[in-house]
Amino acid sequence: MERTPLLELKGITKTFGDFTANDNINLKVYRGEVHAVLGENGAGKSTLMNIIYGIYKPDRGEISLSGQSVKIQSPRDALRHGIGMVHQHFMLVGMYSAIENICLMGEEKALSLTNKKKTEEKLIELKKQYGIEVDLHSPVEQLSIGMQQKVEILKLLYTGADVLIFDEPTAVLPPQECDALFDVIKNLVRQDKGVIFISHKLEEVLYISNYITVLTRGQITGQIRTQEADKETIVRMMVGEDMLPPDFAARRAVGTPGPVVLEGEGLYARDDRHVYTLQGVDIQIHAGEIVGVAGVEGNGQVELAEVLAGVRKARKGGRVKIDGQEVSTKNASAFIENNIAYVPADRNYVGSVPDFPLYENWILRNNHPPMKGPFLDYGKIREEAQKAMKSFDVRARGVEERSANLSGGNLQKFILARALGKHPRVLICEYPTRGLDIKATWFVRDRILRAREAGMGVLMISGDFEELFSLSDRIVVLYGGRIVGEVRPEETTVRKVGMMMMGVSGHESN
Amino acid sequence: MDQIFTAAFLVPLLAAGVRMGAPLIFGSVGDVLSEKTGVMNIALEGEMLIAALLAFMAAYSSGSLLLGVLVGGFTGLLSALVIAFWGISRRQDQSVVGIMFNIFALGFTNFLYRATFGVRTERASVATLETIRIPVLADIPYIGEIFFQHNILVYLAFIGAVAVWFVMKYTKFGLQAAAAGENPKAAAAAGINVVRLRYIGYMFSGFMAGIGGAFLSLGNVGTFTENMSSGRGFICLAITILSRWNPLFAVLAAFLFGTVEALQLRLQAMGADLPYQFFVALPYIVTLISLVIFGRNIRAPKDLGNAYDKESR
Repeated sequence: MERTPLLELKGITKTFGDFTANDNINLKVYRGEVHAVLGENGAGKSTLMNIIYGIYKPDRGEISLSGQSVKIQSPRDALRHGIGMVHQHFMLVGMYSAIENICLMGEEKALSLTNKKKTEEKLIELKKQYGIEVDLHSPVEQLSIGMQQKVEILKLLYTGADVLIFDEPTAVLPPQECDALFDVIKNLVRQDKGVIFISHKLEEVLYISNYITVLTRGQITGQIRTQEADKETIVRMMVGEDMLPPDFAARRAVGTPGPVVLEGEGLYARDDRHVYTLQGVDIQIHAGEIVGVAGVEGNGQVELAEVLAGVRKARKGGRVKIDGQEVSTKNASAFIENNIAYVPADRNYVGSVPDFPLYENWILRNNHPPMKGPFLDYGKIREEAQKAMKSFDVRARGVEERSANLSGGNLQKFILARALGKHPRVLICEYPTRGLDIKATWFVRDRILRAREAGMGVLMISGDFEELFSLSDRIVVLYGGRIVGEVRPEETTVRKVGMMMMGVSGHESN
Repeated sequence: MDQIFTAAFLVPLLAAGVRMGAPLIFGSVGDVLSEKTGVMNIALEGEMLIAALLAFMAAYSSGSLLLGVLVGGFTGLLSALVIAFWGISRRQDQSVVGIMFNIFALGFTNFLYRATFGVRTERASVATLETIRIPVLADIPYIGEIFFQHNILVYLAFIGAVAVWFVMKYTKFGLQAAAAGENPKAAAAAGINVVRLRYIGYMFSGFMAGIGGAFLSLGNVGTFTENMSSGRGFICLAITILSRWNPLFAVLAAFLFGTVEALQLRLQAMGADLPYQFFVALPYIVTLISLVIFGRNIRAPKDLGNAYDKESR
């Protein structure tokens, strides 16, 4: 028997100029189900959701709710029809509590008194009904990201949303808060809501959804019940038959690495809260090897990378040597001069200046940009940036584009292109593929391997076991700011490294 | 010095502080609301100055002080409308537009005053607003003289401050206004018309500044002098910050500055052994010092001074 879908899209097509963002999209969302929309960055997921939410108007196609065809002209319309969206960037006023944020909406007259008591009662009821635990009274800016997300969800439920769209909800969450979000989503569908879950992360889609639609370059390239799906089928749907996951591990270095190029002795460092998170680490990076650094977040990995990149000061007499020569960690200039490249974890604010155009971002962390007499040679700078963007497949409208407008994958490729463009001796990268889609991830990993093959030393911090195990020549494990173990990936298991990260077993004794 | 710490000196001093603080209350309370919606009224000074002149001219030619006050208010409102058009709708830099207006106001009032009244030894003048004694309250010793024997505008200043405080704290409008100044995108997502709210906030601020300007010419002296606002608009901006965007604290701060102003006039008259410029500078020095002391750890509306563009991402 055919149920009536809660939300149905028929033949949705949307073009921008001669670029087709959505091509004849058909999709059904049922009550009590999570429908995942999976696709790479730029595959048209966001465009599609913006159409459902009334921000864009489709060129062709029809949207029906419970069998009734509807026209959605604005987010207000969407809300009125019971469609709510949890944006990636939360639409919350930071200094207001959850209650106040929700009081903002509603249909009462402007000068009417805010009825916080009544709102609160209704919210408490909703919290109970959907099992959402969140503080209603503190300013939302004091809540964790995960909590703020829950406030957003409550807001939509308060307005009576039946279809909830989650736009890459886990991209902003630390891993431990993802599970809590999944619990909330499960509760939502248990209460007969329909959920659209957008993501480019395979594992979570397989875990949470009932049905998967795969979008590639604006077209549906696969629709499948999650029960019938496995990882490989979906990857094939996403990247096409011709592309198989590259075997990075096969490219592991054979033979002995070169001489030590970068060395840290007794490194101590404080994090931004002035807590010593790095507590005496000795590390050597040889030319032509990749040193992976594993650890649960907050155990000093980032501080280690930053000290070795010259952007954080080594304290308590710790020393950093490049080619055996000690360099001052007071500022990054000696490191830049010695050609130590750095790809920071925060692409948007450390790796780039969001309001600068790409060609200006191109000469960041560069002591000798092209000059024409005393002036910057912008012609040459643009040319360099353009060339690098081409060879690293950075998709942007051109070098004039502000870096803020680039997707995560493209920005990361740009930063990597900049770092590798000067043929550095050492590449230090933090979480190089975090938040990237599959293809961009493969691209970045390939480039890191190529850097190693060209004789660079690489220090790579990662939270991704697959990445650590397939790329690293050796993995050092940090716990409590100290190195608690060093292993070769081919001689150990994910489980053992995981145990070390938790501080369970000291050295690799077993 | 002995004569300062007597009731005969202090009570009139504080009463004058209330009176001189009143225009500051008008200016800052309006600005508090405007800044809450995200627009700083840098042009307060100019709005007050033009309103002071036009209010005076209206009262002078019609003989009606009430008409003068109303003209003052609407002069401020219209000035604000012009500035809001550039600063909000056309998204020009709000500070630049505001400062331009201040410069314009100074030149314009000088010109208009001289063109209208000519240069003569005796200034054109009108009667000042009459003092209203609040029954019963005015008879309380000291307190009565300080707070309850003033002209109508002083009372209106207090009432206005309380009203704005109430609206901001307890109504949906207040919640929405502050949302527009904190996070306009989130506000818009909640269905709020950010641009309209900012216009309302800014024009209200202009209207209040206009009444404050009318107070300067009609409340105390009954005449207009060149550059009569003499920086009060800027002091109002400082008060807004000191009050942490709370109209009730703004009243307190305005009272403080009014009292300092009154004190410097008295000290000058007492012929203390210092150059008179020192006394004239006193209110500004107090402004600076109090900003340095109390201006720390404050939290301005997050989107204050930024143009809101619906289309941007």
